[in-house]
Amino acid sequence: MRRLPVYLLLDTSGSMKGEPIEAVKVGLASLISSLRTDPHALDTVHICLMTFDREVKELVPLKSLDEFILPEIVPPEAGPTFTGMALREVCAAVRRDVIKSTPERRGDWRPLLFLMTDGGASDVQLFNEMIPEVQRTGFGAVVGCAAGPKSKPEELKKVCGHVVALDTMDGHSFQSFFKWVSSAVSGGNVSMGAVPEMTLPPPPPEVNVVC
Amino acid sequence: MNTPNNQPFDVWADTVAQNDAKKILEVMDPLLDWLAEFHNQGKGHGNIQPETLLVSSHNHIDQVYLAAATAGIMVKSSGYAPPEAYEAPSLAPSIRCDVYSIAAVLYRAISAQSPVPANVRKVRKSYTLPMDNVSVTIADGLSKALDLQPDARPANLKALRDLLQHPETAVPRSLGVTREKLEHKYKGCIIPASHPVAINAKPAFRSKPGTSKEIADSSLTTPSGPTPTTAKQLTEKAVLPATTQSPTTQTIAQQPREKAVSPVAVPLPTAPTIAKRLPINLTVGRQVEIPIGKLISDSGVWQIRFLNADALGLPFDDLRKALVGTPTVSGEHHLNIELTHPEAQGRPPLNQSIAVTINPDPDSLWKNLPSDEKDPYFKPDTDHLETATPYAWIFAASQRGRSHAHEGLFRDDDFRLRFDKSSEWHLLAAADGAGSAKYSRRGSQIACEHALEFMAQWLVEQQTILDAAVQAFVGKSEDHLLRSASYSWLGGAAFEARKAIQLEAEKRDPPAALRDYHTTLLLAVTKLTPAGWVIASFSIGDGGIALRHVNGEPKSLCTPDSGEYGGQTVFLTASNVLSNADHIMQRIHTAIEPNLSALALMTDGVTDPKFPTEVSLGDAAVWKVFWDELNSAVNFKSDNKDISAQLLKWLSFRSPGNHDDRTIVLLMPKTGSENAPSHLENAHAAKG
Repeated sequence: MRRLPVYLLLDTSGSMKGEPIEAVKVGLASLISSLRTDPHALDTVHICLMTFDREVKELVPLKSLDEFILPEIVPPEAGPTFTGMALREVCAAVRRDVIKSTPERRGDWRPLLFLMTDGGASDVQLFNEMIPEVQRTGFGAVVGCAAGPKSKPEELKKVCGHVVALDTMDGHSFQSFFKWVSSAVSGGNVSMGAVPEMTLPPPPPEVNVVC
Repeated sequence: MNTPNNQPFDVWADTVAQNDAKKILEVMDPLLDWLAEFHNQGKGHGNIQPETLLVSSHNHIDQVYLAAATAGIMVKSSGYAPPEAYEAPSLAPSIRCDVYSIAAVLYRAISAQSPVPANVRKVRKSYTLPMDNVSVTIADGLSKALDLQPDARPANLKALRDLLQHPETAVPRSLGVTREKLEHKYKGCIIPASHPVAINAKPAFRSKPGTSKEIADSSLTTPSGPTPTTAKQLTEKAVLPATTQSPTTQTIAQQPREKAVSPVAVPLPTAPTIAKRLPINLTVGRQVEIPIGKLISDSGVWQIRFLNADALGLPFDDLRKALVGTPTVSGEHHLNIELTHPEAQGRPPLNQSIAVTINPDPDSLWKNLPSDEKDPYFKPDTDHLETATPYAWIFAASQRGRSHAHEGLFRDDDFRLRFDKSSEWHLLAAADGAGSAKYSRRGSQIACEHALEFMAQWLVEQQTILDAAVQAFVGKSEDHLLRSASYSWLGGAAFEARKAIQLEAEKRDPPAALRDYHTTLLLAVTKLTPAGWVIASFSIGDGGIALRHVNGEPKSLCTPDSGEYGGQTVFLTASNVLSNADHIMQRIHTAIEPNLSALALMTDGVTDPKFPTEVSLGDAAVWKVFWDELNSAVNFKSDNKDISAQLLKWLSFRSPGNHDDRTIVLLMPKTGSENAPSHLENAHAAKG
């Protein structure tokens, strides 16, 4: 079966502790349950959930939507935000997990990457090194979400084909963001392939399009 | 977690902690954190008693067990329930109820005496609890918390904590106070001189992590060394000599200490470990068997009642000790269970819930919305056609995919068939419009129509060249002439089709782009010669063209354009696709087959599920499965008037993840063929 691999890369650095991470968890739960009402997504969407702070964790390795169980997410008290390391790990995970077509084997759909962060990368050098690597990995779409006032949409633009920004990091903003992700993923099921980059659905008012 | 050594709080306090206030408060501390969080819901627990506070061998209170215990209902545990519990039969426990119960449990643990039940205290209004051997601080705090008037108690656990933590709030008031005042203050609590009371300068409860071990607060752990003067003074002043006790307090003070006696003498059996969530997600309509041993430890010992398993379609099978069934309701659910231990009848049952996710049945979610008939590019959601030539039958069917039907989108596939009577060539075309291109339904239609139109016209003009090429191919097995003819014939058709689409795009107001009409194109032409069926094919994009020998051997007649990832393909309408002669030549395939069983053109809606890899289109084993399935769904052999209709019906086969439009065109020779739909014998149909 041809899978649509969706990589969710979430910032869980200390600044996400408290309300923001709770809002993200609620958003994730609604993302999953909303996708579960889409029959095509139920058949094809596979989700990998990775978090990054001072370390990168693959909380849920690529798993089909119907098998996906949302794990506990606990941000550390404080510490750096290793966005570069996170990008390196997600590219490695794609190389490892996503099946490419060969004459003998049927490949997956192009993977989608959603990267959410509320600050700038602490490992700027690695982050910059990862820009060509992300491009080589062949994502169908790389969507960056700059959450809150301390986020750096300009930095995200270097790796993400699409960048959206959330003014606030409350439940409402994240809910809107993840709802939009859900419709983007659902749309990805139908539109993948014909165009080099997938077209994303128009975002809700809480989600500002940066590029 | 629960171990066989778990014991009710009172038993633990008497045996392990030996009524050491410091130790007891330390162990109680995390529980108060948990309970405070529970209180954030704005309601009390209502079932706080030594039996629901199980202490493990590691001195941890089992919060899971407490969470599982009946909560939210006032349980009238004798000695621990507040007086309010006796006033209204169905009182919802408040936070102050829990404050009373916690204080009662602490009182029991530290004083080693059973708290007198609140209803008894209430009847004798002045009835207070004896607090000998309890430090002033704690005695003061507990007395407040055990007040019969809810409003007089600390409002919440934090307030209770503060009372027990900060002796300075209690102690100075006791300095120099009169005996009467003290007696009033402590409501008769008796602190014998033999138990010196230390001033609790440090909090009894952890205020900072890591300092709890340094905390010294207990009459029982007071160092034997010199007591600080102030403390000593306080001790002397705080202690009421027995002779001055009022009659009421005396009665109680003279009661024998009930060491290690709890309201219920038998310790509760170890609570089982219960999974918080089912380890797997379920799906509606998919049968499942979940052994309860995987959810509940010691499941053999406990009597387990599943309160809502039937409603979820997962009835408990007592014989198999498992939940066996087919889930019926999708969503996020909680499997509610009630556990009772055979040796603990009469105790409140343990209530627990296990989270379970039930996925909907994907098939049930598909909607079938009609496409817009008023659209200028409207196309029926299905199409099927059967036709006969003097040499073959041709069956074709095209079905809008579920993913399109779900959103009321159009069928983007198309096909056209034609038999050129004068040259006796069969001309077949199928096309798959790209789902992401907004006018692709029209693109595929134009592609098929114009390709066939061009091919028919070409035959009129170039038949001599073609005949010579076929002659060379049949006679000398040399295919370069046929290939070269096909280059201008089929390649030319593709080019013409593309041009027609370009014109259509420009015709629109405002003009549309060629990419809005993205479509693949599959072309096959065939003619019966004395040496067999001569076939030439041409394809751009995915999908497939293949022939089947009567012995079942297939041969692929295409090189699918597929990229590294799924869905990456090229289109007739893509730029540069027809700009390189070598590339066009590579798209041409030829064959001669004396024993042809079928020639098939299939869009990727069919090839993706049935021939998942490029090589499988030429794989006999894969073809056998496909052919058997096709023949069981479509009755090709009898005098069947509904072959193409059956073919169309078959196209709706279920295949997870494959919900694209599906189109198949099958040519089956009459000679040497087992097929004989006689009603088509005299029919000569064409569509173009």
